[in-house]
Amino acid sequence: MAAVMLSGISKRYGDTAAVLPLDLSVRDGEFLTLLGPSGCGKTTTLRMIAGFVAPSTGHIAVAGDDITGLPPQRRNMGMVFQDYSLFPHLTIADNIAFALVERRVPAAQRAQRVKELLELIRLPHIAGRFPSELSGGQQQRVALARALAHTPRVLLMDEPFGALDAKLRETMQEELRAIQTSLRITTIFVTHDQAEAMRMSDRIAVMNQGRIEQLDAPRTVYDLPRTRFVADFVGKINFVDATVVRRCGDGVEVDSLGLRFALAAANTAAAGDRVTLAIRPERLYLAPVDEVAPADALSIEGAIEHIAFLGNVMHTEVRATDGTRLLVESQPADWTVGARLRVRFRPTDASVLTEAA
Amino acid sequence: MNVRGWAGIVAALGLAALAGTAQAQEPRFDGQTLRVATFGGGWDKAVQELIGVEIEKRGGKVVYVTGSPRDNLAKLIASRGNAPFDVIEMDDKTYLDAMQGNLLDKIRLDRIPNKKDLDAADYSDTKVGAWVVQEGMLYLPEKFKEAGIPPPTRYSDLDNPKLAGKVSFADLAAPGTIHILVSMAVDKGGDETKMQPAYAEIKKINAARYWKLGGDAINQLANGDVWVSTLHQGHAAQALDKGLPVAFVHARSGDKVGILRPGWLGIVKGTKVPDAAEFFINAYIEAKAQEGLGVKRGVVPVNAKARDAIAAGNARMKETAILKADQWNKMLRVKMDKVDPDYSEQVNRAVAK
Amino acid sequence: MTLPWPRFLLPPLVLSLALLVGSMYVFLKGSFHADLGVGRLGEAFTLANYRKLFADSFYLNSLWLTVQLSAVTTLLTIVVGVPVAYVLARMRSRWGPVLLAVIVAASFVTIVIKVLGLNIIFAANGGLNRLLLELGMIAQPLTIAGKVEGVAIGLLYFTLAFIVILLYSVMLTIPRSLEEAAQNLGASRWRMHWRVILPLALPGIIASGLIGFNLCMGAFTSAALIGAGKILTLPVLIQRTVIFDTKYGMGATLAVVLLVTGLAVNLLSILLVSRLNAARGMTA
Repeated sequence: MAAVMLSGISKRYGDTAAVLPLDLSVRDGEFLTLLGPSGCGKTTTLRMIAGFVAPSTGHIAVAGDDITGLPPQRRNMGMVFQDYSLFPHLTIADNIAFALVERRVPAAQRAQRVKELLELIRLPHIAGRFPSELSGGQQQRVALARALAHTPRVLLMDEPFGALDAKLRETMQEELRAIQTSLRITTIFVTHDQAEAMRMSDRIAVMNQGRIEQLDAPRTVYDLPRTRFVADFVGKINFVDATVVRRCGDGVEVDSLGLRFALAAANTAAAGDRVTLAIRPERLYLAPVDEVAPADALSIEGAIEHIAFLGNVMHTEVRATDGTRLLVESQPADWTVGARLRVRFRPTDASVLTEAA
Repeated sequence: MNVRGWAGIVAALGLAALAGTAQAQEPRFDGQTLRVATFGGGWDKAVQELIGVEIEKRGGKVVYVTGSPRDNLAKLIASRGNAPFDVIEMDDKTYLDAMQGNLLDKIRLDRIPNKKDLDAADYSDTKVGAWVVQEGMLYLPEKFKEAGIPPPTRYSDLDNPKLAGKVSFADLAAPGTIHILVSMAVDKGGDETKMQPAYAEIKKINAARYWKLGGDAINQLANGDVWVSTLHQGHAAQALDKGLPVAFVHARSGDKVGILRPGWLGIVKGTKVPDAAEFFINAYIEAKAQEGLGVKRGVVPVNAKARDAIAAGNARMKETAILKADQWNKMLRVKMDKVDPDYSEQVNRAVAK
Repeated sequence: MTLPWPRFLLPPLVLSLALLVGSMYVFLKGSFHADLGVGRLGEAFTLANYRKLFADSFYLNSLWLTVQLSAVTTLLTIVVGVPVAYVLARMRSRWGPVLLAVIVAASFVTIVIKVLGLNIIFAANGGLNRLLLELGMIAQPLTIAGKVEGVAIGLLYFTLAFIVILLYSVMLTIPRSLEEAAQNLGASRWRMHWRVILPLALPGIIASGLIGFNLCMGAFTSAALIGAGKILTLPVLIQRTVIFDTKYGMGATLAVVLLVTGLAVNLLSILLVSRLNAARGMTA
């Protein structure tokens, strides 16, 4: 049974739709991320699950129980807020014990639980301090401990690492994932940072304009984006126009870049349809004009228009003979602008976007 | 006609000529400005129209510093010798304080010929009466009738359980309170120096409110907030003019009926225009001016001729004020300089909750 | 080049100090001299005024009445004002700013006008009393004049708008996400207010309360107009002593006692607040 089930959930504010009717099933113990740019509806979706926003349509169920009409305080969820939202007038121990007091847990048990949680977040010595005395990272951990204290059914996190600097953010991401894995708690995480989503999630739901555009494992989302938006939002990518020649088995044969090749395609594109192919820059290789390509690779000739050196990698912009511009990411090499070369790729590394070109 | 007769005519003509020159030589106040401290709210305008113009006809100018006598006295004290005005209009208590503070100049009574129309009690060499009001009670006869309360005749009648919460009384800051207190004391066998009965009485009456402005008390009667209030005959005339269903009664103090509360004019020590000040005071008590103030503002003239004129011509005034000489002489006059000096503190204690 | 801004603050500072310290000095000094009548003060230094004040239950009662009335009114104002301020601060509708503007405008209306309004409302044959009489809810018309309760209502009316504006800004400083955090952790709305909003707003409530208390302690007009000469609070007594009795020495003494009492209450409260703040690790 799904831990959290959204059926036809939507939210309208007057004439504007924040979230279009969507279905989402979160598996038990799963770390699921809602990823998307600001205004895509990810936070609204999370807040509907938490109970702070009443959905305009649809139902929310947790472990099979419909909770759509329940107020937030009766949903038994733990939430970590973007700004931590620790209670400034309470000590760390009292912050963590907040939910336990509301549940009338006896003082001795409360103290024990607070101790456990402080050890879990590896800050056993700060029980008596106040939030204003802690660093950002410490406050973040306390916020997590507080959200976990009452062993909620679901952990909700709204851009929890947004205010931390890059290095600390990485540490926190690792710690959170470790804690989540050890507790096996169903977690719904909201972020606009695709790297963060990739690093932490079991599955990512990429959202755009109130819709979930793709829900897949991070690797699939990256390698086989289904829409131009997903492809573009998650890392850099090349879009190449193509025409379907014919369908063959699970895939299609296409005419693109002056080449003809077959590749897998989930959509129902038929012969003659114009489609868009997406291929990651690091799946393209630069080769001298005269080098012989491996059997499974295709190549196209072109000239270098621009080179950007980024340290560990180099970004090369190539204009192919048919006029298509391709971005290639490679190990730094001694290419110069204007040089003629071949851009090589495997058809299996390209994906056909579901939407029409 | 014999020689004597002719002589008489010649003499008469000569006298007339003399009188003519006297008129030609009457005082001028060119370049002089007389500053008069008086009430605001239109009173100052009436004074200007009736009295101030007389100075202006003679080349001078009159400016008014308006405020209650207490406020004006406070200004005078605060000025420390650099008086902000030359003439001050005062109630009894303010006059007494001003005297005590040695703030008033002597008035040369020979410059005040119009005093001939005043009672001797109404002027001295430091004060000249300006007008009089007559303290009493204004009440709602219908309410009294409904409640079975006889019309009041003396202030102690307000001490009636049926009137609990229905009495408005003059506040200490209102100028008539002291006269009412003396009336209450006299009515109970006391006097200005023996005021204890009055303090006990005011405590027993336990008025619902104490008013500072007569207009407020009239509104309270109009709104039905109270059924009776200590007020003077001028207030009564105002209320009747508005068509309110009220009746006025002059308060009795022992065998006296009615209370005289005079307003006084005095000259401030250090004035630079004493002649103009005395001329102003003389003009103030002139019969026509007095009649005018009475008609316009509802005060009773101190000038007996003006009283007679009003009694003959003003029905409302005749209805509310005591104007006839024989009754006038039987009214209570308060000897302000004898009044218990602690009275304000005593009243505060009596009325405080 | 940076302008020397602090220098611009100097003239108002000097002026304020001169006026404040100057006037304080005058009445502080006056309180130590005997009244000779008509505003004149004796030459010799004396404690007679203070001795008289503290030996006389009349003055002490007036002081006690003033403190009591101010404290009770302040409490009432806070009780009425806190929910109003909270709702305004949390209001998302476009009527929120309009309502706030109305309250700000109400604070500009002089108390004289407000008292006039109260008198009309509570007039014996006014609408309210006629209605209540007809409904048989009262046997006698309600009145505020000359009643302590009436003065309290007047003071409440006088301070409420100020206090609501102050409390509004206090409520704005409490992030809405703290409320959501509390609810998420299982607190009902009532528990959320009790455990989060109230404790967080408390220093601000106390500060606003103090301002209200000070306004009440110094309020002359409501006490004078509604008190109708019967509710002799210290400000009313001071006015009588100075203007009517022209006893400047005694008036100054009463003013000093009023000021010192007010200061004492303020200092105590500030101590209390800084204790509260220290206890939660904030700098006072």
